[in-house]
Amino acid sequence: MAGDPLQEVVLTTKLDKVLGWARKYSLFQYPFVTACCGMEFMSTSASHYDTDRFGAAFPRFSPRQADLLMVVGTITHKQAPILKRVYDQMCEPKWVVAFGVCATSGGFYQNYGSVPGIDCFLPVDMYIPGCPPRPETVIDALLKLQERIQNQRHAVL
Amino acid sequence: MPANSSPALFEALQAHFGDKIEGRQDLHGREAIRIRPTALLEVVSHLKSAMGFDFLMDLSGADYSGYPGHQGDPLCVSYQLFGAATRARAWLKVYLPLEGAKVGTLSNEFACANWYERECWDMYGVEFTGHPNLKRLLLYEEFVGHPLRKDYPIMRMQPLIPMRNAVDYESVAVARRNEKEQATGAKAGN
Repeated sequence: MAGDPLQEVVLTTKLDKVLGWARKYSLFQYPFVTACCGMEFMSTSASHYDTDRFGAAFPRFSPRQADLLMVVGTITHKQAPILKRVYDQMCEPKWVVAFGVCATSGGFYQNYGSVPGIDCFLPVDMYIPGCPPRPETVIDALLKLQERIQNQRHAVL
Repeated sequence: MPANSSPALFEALQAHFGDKIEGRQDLHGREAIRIRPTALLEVVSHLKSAMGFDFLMDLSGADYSGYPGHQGDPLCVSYQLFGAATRARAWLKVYLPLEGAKVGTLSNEFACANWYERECWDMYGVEFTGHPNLKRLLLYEEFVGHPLRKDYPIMRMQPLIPMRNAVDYESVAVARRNEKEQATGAKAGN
């Protein structure tokens, strides 16, 4: 309808798309840091690489307030129930990133003590390889995760 | 007294304790003294009170099952003592059987032995009699067995929560070792 005054001020979109856009730029991380990957995680989060510019770096140290679980480092069988509990305490929608080879597959800890990858008991959205991964790899994974969040379906009651 | 556990120390101990001192081992230029397990407390207490060894630097375990050239009981507990005033060291070893490995606790002499002995119990299953709190230090209470013993399969996992898509790593590890042995055996045959 030509000359409709609404078209000047209103932008139409899909609900999934706008929720995805809002959620991908407001990721609150819960850093579950257990090992040496933590150093690389800190440098990625700090000012030099600055993941905040992607809207993906705000750390919350309560799982209730977080929607992105970063599992950074080796998870032992003794630690697994704790991590599972942290995941269960997070509210939907939530995503999980396995940071480094130990969280991804157990890495070189193939023995009685370590979990061979956190995907044995958690649904993982993004795996970051490396021992430890370089900050560029982490940023790449975050961007890919944002793309996934943008394009996924966001259920609204 | 010299800076290392020395022949002089061995001779002094042997003169004092006789056959409670089982022997000496030269390991890479350092001398270890083998003590009869039942006499360990007596010897350590003498070293501490009469010879100035006032610091337990380390206590560690080892399992010599299948070790080339090893004879006698396979499970070993080794003690590193240090004298701050004399700057001397003493390296003591006791050997224990796999079944019912028992040796007296040093936690009354040295408070730091408490956690060392708990770790050694956790990993090797050495029972330190008289220990005030002998429970696992690193692993969880539900864990069955002692993982650094040679007869513990390295890939035997004991998860606390259900694991999905879990591979039977233990059989995989055994199969790989068999393949490797067959391959190397065939090579040696050629």
